[in-house]
Amino acid sequence: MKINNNFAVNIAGIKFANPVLVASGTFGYGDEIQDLVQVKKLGGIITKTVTLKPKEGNPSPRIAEVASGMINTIGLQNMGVENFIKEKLPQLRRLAVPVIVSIAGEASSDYIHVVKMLSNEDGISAIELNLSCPNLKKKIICQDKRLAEEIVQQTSEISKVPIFAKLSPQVEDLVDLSILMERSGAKALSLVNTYPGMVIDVKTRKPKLSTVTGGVSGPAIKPLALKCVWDVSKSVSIPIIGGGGIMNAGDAIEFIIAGASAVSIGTANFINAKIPTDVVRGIGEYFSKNKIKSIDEIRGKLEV
Amino acid sequence: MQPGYYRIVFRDEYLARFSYSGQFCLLTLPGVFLRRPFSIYATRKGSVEFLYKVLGKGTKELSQLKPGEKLKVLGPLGTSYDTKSKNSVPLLVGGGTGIASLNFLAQQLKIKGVLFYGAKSKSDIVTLNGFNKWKVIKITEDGSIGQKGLVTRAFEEFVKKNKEKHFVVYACGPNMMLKKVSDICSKNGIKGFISLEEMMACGVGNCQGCAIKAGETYKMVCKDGPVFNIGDVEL
Repeated sequence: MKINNNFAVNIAGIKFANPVLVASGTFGYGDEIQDLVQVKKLGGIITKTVTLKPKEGNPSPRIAEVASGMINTIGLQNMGVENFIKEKLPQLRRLAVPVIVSIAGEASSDYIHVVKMLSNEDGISAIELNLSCPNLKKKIICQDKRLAEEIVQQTSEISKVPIFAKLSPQVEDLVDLSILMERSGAKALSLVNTYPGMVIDVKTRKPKLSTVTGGVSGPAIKPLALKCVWDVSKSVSIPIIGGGGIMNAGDAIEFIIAGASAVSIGTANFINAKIPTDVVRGIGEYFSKNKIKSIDEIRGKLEV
Repeated sequence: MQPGYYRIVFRDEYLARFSYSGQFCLLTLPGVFLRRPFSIYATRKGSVEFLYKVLGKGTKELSQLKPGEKLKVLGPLGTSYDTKSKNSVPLLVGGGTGIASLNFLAQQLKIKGVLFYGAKSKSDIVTLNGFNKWKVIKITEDGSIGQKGLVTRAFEEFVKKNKEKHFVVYACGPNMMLKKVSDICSKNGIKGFISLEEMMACGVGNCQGCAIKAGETYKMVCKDGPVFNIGDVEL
């Protein structure tokens, strides 16, 4: 079956050869996994989140399994933006696909500082603001609408590249927040980050994670994340990168039909490194089989 | 094998050829989400073996596979035991299923030495095939076979009685045991290696889930380990 390659997408002026990205925190900085994955076949990569100063991350145990998924409390362990620029950016530049750098901070000044430093560098197509990590000592950032608005506004003003906002599903009104993000200057939304959850070991009567709670991901959250994308896509005009439990091309297409312009695959990378490239191929086969010439034909076109 | 303990053999040419002792593989098991790490227990021409105990759903499913069935295996992963020491006698300390990686180590070591093999009771001491001509000291907590007590006690007594000799230690088992072994080695100026385990997701150093404290940073058991120099990580 001839594979249709007419599924390039344009998000905020960035051209992706296909709509399949790998999610932040699941692909490192693109180097470790190169002997298992042909990165050039992906639409793009979103790097592990970097912060202003290096972060140690949370103590062990940091992960546990849940039915059809997992829960993590990594705690944004990363080398800090300075080391990232020195050690990881040079090889990221050599990748043949757009690179979106994920960043986080505790105060808006952190975000602004990191964006300033990254704006002096080439090779970055966009910056994804991680406003939604559930594993830090402080509350989830975007649960504070005013703070999220401030961060998006101020980083959008100084960034040389488009600013994307990655949101948590655990907010009072995700649609409201998304509209606010668009108004504040975000050029795309990543929906969604992990769902706060927990696991208890009944043998020891202790939590399985060192921080008691963590972020749930994987197929277990797919129906929930899908609804988030559906709800938001009807209310914003900026593109959505949708994800949450995507394990195969069918899952990815569900998100596109619900309104996503691109999809991000995360936890699946831990089950089988070939899943993202298999999804690319699967979407192509779906397009061929259904004689779809462009992704616009199905994006957001859920028939209700 | 002892009740609850199983050996599983996979036919695969590359794993057999390119694995080093201490390394592990990630097995995709039916019925559970994440892949499970297993130390390589032995290799033969064209085949690789794992030794495991049935503890939960994943290992239960594994134990019910029939000969001829196929399974997805990713490996070999991680760091290996350093077997370059020429002049030192190897002392191996194994606790419970920690014995698995040590069995493979014995297969790859050129010099034979002493194995201290400890477990809770007789039903946890498996018959090993990799320790021909080794001195094997079995220790059980309840004394049902071999010496009674903790494996670390037997190990410490041996070290004390043989102060003039040159040893290199390799240990694999519960963290409490590894900590004790590390302390004994530090006190007696013996160099050695420990093999750890930790909950894993990606198994290749990407997700940073399997972190272990090492000085001021966290190292990854799947990539910087599972074998570490004694003293390099905090237990």
